[in-house]
Amino acid sequence: MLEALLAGFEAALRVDTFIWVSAGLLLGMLMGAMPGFTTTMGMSVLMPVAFLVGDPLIGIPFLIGVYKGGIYGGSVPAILISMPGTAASVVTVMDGHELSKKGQPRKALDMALAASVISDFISDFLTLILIIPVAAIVLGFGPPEIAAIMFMSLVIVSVTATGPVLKGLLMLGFGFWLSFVGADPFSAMERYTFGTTELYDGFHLIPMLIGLFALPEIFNAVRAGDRKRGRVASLVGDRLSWKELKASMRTILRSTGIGTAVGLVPGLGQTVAAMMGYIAAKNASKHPETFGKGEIDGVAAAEAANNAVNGPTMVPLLTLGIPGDNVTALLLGAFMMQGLRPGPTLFETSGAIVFAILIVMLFANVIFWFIGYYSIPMFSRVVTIKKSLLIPITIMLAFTGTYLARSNPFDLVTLVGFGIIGLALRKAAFDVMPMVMGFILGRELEYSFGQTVSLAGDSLLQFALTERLGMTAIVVATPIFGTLIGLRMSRLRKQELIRGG
Amino acid sequence: MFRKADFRLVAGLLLLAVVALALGQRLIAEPPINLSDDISPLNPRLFPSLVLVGIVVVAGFFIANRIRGVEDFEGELEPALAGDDSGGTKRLLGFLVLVVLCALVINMLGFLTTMFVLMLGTSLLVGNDSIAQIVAFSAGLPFVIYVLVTHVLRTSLPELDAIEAVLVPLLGMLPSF
Repeated sequence: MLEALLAGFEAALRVDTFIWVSAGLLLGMLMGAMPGFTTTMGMSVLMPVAFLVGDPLIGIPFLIGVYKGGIYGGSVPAILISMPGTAASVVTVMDGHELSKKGQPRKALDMALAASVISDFISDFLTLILIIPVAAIVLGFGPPEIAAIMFMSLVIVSVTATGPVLKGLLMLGFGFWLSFVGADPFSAMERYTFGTTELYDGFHLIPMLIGLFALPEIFNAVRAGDRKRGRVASLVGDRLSWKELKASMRTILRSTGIGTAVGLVPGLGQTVAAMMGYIAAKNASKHPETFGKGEIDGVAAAEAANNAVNGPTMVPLLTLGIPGDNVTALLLGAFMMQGLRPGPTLFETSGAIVFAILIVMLFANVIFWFIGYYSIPMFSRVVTIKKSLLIPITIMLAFTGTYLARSNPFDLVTLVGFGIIGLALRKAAFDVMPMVMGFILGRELEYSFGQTVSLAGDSLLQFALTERLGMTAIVVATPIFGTLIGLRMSRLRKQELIRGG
Repeated sequence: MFRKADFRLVAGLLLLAVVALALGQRLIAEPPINLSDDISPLNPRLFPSLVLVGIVVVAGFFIANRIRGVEDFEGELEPALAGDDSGGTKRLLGFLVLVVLCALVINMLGFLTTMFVLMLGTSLLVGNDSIAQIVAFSAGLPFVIYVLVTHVLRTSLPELDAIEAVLVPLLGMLPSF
């Protein structure tokens, strides 16, 4: 493991990687800064770029740059026009926009940047430390354990998805079912192809991801039309002083701890972390009455907590193949398109590349600071760009990216089809993440289970009870843990809903 | 509003799953010869059938709960089409027709023409009233993307022979990467 870490360090020191990370950060900030354009949409539209460059040390860091930049970029419209660019910035509005109204938007944006970069750096470093022992444990896993872990991942993702567990399970089943379209992995017999050659290889991941994540947002934007925006606060006021940053360090570190812990648990995500960080800061403050009225610590707490989630979500993703949210589900797809399958075997087959990506993530924070610091005035103007200019560009990029994945016009039909499915699912309040997970891992699970059956020979039960106790323990424990986590998540959300009125 | 929508969607999924289970023999081909367990340890119908049975059971529970009036916590997802905005719905339907058409004709009309139509139509639907801006964006951006993809990334995009004949000498004048 240590050798892989050192090799990863060497592999990470590439100029082109950092150029692409910078491009990703800029594009992410741009997407996040546009109200109504989310990080998920930005990542799904830009995913084909990562796929086309063909090098995991360029493509994945590029997308991670978009992810980091997008989460921070969301704070720009939240502070300037009280309209969060991403869901993660909802809490930033409370004090950020109040500071803008008091004539201190620059200070609020500076604090959002400083808190984001510091928490991102610390949580990325913790990720690098945490991932080594977890990866070392899962390294000894074979096909039976891999199949069991995939089963566990799918159950956890379904029960932690937004909404009732039954809906999560249904979405998982639907995604699973779609993954079977195409040739069977063992006998190559056709399944649900209706005799068409286009479906023989199944649905491609890129049109599915863009269709489910980006197209419904474009559809909604078209439906809403080009509405006039509220007044944009001009970028005036003092910059953040070193003294003010030092005074907020305790809050930033507390929120970083909260965000890191939240990131390790699949299904919670940035919004929950930002809320928890903000509440903790308010409770710990000597003057809680100032929160919600333009308290700079409120901006620091929310932004540090939501950005600290980014790194730790990579621990369950890379070691077990469990994505924590929609963005990490997209990253899972990006890894797979680069020929890297997150899960127990990843560190065995591509340990150096994975460590290189994590090290790039860590160093990217320095670039993040520079780009953010000097580009704040530019992104403050982005919030004024008309939607009627952005939507046509986004749909064009979605079409081009989909076509480029494998130069197959059928994928465009698939894209639109999944877009309509995504819209219908949103209308019916279904979370698409279990569906995406079912689609990505469905065939893999079938293949690993088939390998397990081959290994077991005549009696699978005897094999499970005598030779693969680890697999059996995971399979038996999964429904129990799944039920407990599901009940806990349901209670948590009910409490959140009651608190939110 | 979305309580009805989710009920209809689950009912549709249940129906699809039942039909797929019933037609399983026709929709999934069986190997023409018996393959040994080493080559094909699983029947190609096993996993799909298990998943379909799972969908039927879960969808059945969901529908039964709704019929019995059991309250189910809805989560925080917002319905995409909330509200009664007929103008917005018309725009959305127009946009859906546009994207479906563009997806179908890209090979026939080529990348540049299709993207021009797609961007032009979308701009008009969304409410951009500056014709000069619309035309400049709809013609210029697809051209930039075309040059980037074909000349820099060296990947092909579908294009009409007549347009390609004009573009090739122009692209030849650009520095190679």
